[in-house]
Order: sequence, then C-alpha cells, then structure tokens
Amino acid sequence: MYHVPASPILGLYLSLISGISYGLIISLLAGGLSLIYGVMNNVNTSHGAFYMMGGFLTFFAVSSLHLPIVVSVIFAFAAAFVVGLVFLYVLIPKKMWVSADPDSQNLVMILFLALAQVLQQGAFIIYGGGSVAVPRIAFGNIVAPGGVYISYQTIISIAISLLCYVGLFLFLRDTKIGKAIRAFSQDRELAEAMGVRVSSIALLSFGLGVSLAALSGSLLSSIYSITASTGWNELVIAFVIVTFGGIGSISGSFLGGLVYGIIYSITQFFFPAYSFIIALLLIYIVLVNKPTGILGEIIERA
Amino acid sequence: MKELESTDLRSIPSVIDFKDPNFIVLLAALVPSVLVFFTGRPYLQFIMMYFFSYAIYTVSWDLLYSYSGQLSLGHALPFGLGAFFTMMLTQFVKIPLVPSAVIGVLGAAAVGGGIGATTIRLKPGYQGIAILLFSQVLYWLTLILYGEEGLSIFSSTPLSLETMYISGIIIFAAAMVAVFLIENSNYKLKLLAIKGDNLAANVCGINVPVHKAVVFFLSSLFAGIGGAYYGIFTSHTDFTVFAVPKSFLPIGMAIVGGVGSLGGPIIGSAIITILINILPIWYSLAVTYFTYGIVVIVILKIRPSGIVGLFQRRYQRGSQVAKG
Repeated sequence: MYHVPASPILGLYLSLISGISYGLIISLLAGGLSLIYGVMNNVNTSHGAFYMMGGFLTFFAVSSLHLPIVVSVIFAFAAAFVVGLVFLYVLIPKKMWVSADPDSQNLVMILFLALAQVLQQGAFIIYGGGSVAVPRIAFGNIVAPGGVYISYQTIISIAISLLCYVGLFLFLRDTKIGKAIRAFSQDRELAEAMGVRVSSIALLSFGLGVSLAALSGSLLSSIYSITASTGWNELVIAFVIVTFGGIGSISGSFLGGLVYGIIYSITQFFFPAYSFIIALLLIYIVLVNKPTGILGEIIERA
Repeated sequence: MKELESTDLRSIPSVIDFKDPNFIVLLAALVPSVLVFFTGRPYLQFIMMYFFSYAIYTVSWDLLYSYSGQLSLGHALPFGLGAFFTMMLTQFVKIPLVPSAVIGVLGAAAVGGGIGATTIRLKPGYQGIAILLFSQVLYWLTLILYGEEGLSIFSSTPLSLETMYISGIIIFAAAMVAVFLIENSNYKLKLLAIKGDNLAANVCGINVPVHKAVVFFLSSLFAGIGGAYYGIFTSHTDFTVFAVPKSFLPIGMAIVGGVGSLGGPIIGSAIITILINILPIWYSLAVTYFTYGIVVIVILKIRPSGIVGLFQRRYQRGSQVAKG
C-alpha cells in the first residue's frame, strides 16, 4: 500500500499514520461494545461477528444491489441497526436485556456467542471461505510532508470515524435520548423512576452499538479484506481497547483505540508476524495491573 | 465458618452414592463404549473416541462454570495446549508417547491455570473474553510457528486402534470418576459459596482468589487430558484447535445436556458428537456447525436447564446445583 520507507524514522512516521487510521476505525467497534456494556451491563460476545457482518453487508450492497460504495456503507450502517434489533428481540429474553445478575450475564454471553457462530457459519454457507474486498471510496494518494504517500481512503476513513465520534458525542450530550442514555447508565433505578423506559433505551443503544461495529467493518473491508472467519480477533481487540480505556466510557475507547492502533502499527514495523500478539499482550499487562483502565476512574460513564 | 475450614482434610467423600443419577449416566455411557469396541467398526470407534475426548473437555468447562462461576469463553486454550505439548514432546524431545502425554497434560494445566489465574481480578463478564484473548494469541502463534500443517505424532511404534480405544475408555472413566469425586466432595461447598456471592464467601473466611485459581488449574488439567487424547487419536494437531468454534464446543455441549452436574455434559457431548459426525455425511461442515449453533440457541431459549432439566424434579439432589 505504501512505498518502502527509506529510513527507520520515515517508517515510524508511516506507522504512526496508518496506526492512527486503523486505531480510529477499530475504536468505533470498541465504542459500540462500550456503549452496549455501559447501558445494558451485558458483554456482546457477537460484536466481532457484527463487524464481519458489516463488511459482508457492504459487499452485498455493492455486488448484488449495485449501489455506489458510499451508499453501501450507509446501507450497512442502517441494515445492521435493524438486524441488531431483530436479534436482540428474538434471542434475548426481555428481562435479561439489562441485568446486573452474573447468571443472566453469563447466559447472555453464551447466547451471543452462539449467535456469532451462527452468523459466521451462515456467511460461510452464503459466501464461502474466500476473502471479500470492497472497492475504495476514492482512489489515489496525496503527498504529505516528508515525501510520504497517504491514500485518500485512509483520509476519508479517518474523517468518517472522527465525524462519527463528534456525532455520538453531540448525540449523547445534547439530545433528550442521549441524556436519557447517560442518566440510565449512571443510575438505572433513578432514571427509571424519572420516566426513562428501559426497553427502548436498551434497544436503541444495542442497535447503535451494532451499527458502529458494522460501520467499522465496512470501512476496514476496503482497506483490508474480510472473510467469514473474521471477527474473533476484532472482538478481542475491541475488548482490550474498551477495558484499557475504561469500561463504559466512549472517550476512553477513542483513546484506547488510538493507543492500540499506534502500538500495533509500530510493532508491525519491527516484528511483522508477531504484531497482533505483542500489541495484545502489552496492553493486557497494563490491564492486569490496573483493571479499571487508564481513564476508568477519571471519566464519567457516557 | 469453622466447619467449612475443618472439612479440608476429608474433602473426598468416603461413600459413593450409587443411586446418584450422574453416576448412572456415567455407567450408561460406558456400556455403549464397550459394546462399540466389540463391533470392530473403525468409524464407530472413531466417533466414540471423539466422544471420550469431548466429554472430558465439556466436563472440565462445566467444572469451571458451575462450581466457581467463572465463564471461560476460550477453553480451547488448555485443550489445545494439552494436544500441542504432547506433540511437541514426541517430535522435538523425542520421548515416548505415554510420558510425553503425561508431561503435556501437566504442562497444559500449569500454563492454562497460570494464564487463568491472571484473569481472576477482571470483571466476571470480561474474564471470559480475556481467556478468549489468550486462545486467539495461541491460535496465531501456532499458525506462525508450525504453519497450516501443524504437528504430527513422531513415534517409532504407532499405537493400534484397539490400544487407543481401550486407553480412551480408561482415561474417560478415570477422569469422570475424578470429577465426580470433586463435585461430591465437601470442597464443593466452598466453591458454591464463592459462586453464589464472592463478597459473602470472602467474609466467611474463604480465600476467594486462591480457590478460583485452584478450580482453574483443575479444569485446565482435565481439558488438557481431553486435548492430549484428542491429539493422540487423531495423530495430528494444528492451529485450529485454538479456534473459537473449538472453544464454543464444550459450552454448547454442556448447555444442551444441562450444566451443573456430571450427567448433563456427558449426555450433551454424546448428542452433539453424534450430530457433528453424522451431519457432514449429507451436508457441509459449515451447515453442521450452523445447525449446532441453532440447536444451542433453541435449547437455551426453551429449556435453559438442558436435557437433564427434564428429570430435575425427580432427582432433587441434582437440581440443587444445576439451578445455578
């Protein structure tokens, strides 16, 4: 994708740029997981499968519906919202949607894991085991200072992720529903007493979380490719980012995503084969020593 | 409080209750195992060997889940480690199969339990994914180190099918009896207290992290036994033993049979092993595992207590545990 760097400094510079773009996109996935956990108190173990589904939905829109690529990305975002709601309705008993009881949380995790397996094997049945790539939104490169080529796709992806974050932030800060979501994740019973409806808040945040996962998959599927078995790595990465940034905090997952992306790209520059393993283990060591995450105690749940 | 501590020394029950439904299920599973041996049909014997391995694997997952409340979403970690360590010892250190299997199982218990022990401090929901993280790490590590071919048994005297089958029955029976003894010992009370309420158990003087780690080591040991046997009878291991569908296998089997007792996982693994070995005759492997996922979802939706739950009212003893 890039030119071979002439010096280690240039290589690090390139790694930084690709790390920022990868980290921002993957942090959308983590943000979705964090939103779902913050509101519903349930870990969505099929989040990686929804990421994979986002890539395949975009591919479906491009190849079967012949939509333009920008429309396909929006289609994946919207379709994932609906699909997520349907799965939540069909799969999870209503009293388990929001629960602090460990038994019910475990059951929900197992149900979502089963759903992930069903989605993965379903994609296998429909599209086979081969990899699928989605066309880029724009072709070409710009030359950044230092003689570095950056593709338009990278810039557009960064812009879309930033836009999503601004949108999410404004939505949570200013709209009435966003305020309800924040109130609900801070104090469930009080929010319920003030007239916030549990089921609609849970539905909305689950749908939004799934949509963010699908958007992330749809954006990354044009930079990397997607196969039916994609998703488990991403689930693990999203989990690491969310815990690293502090569970239930959107800005935490933004920061955690950036940190993960940059560490990943830099280790990829030095140890290409082991980058995934090294990045995960490095962050895991931090996690074990500080289970609340780096921003866990400072940032409010939102 | 004092009673809990004083029961340490006699933690193994002196009398086995032979009317226990779990024991009856174990005996009922042994009968067809012996019968299949005398049919002399290799395909049936292979299905039974899959059953031995998966049953031990499922019981080890259920031991962790039902008796200490730790949900492991990456239980392929100790399972695969058992298989990989055994293969590595036969191939690189060149020691005979039996000692390498024993060392491999102990290694799987040590490494799996050690990794599990680091996850104990995490939030309950996140512990499962943390173990999944390590199984993914090992998935990629073994793919990088040994490629898609994986490792095979390196032995000058390959085992015959009969030897493997008979040793399978013995390992299966021994592991099940061991788990049965653990699950009926007084040590169980401590574990159930931890599962019910971490804080209350702590107040009662139970060292919660230590016992959680102990159960993790025990569970890794049994999963390692299942994995080592799996590696030996398939005579080959590759990176896919660490894949997430392999981690989902014992979860689904325990759910289908019913969690919380020895009988449930045995029944569940028997049913699912037959399902995933029979369906590929007509359909693809993807359809098989798709069906498996659907079966687990349906069972969880209509009968969360599994097949054993059907008999729960009749045997109050079993229900006491299986409820959780």
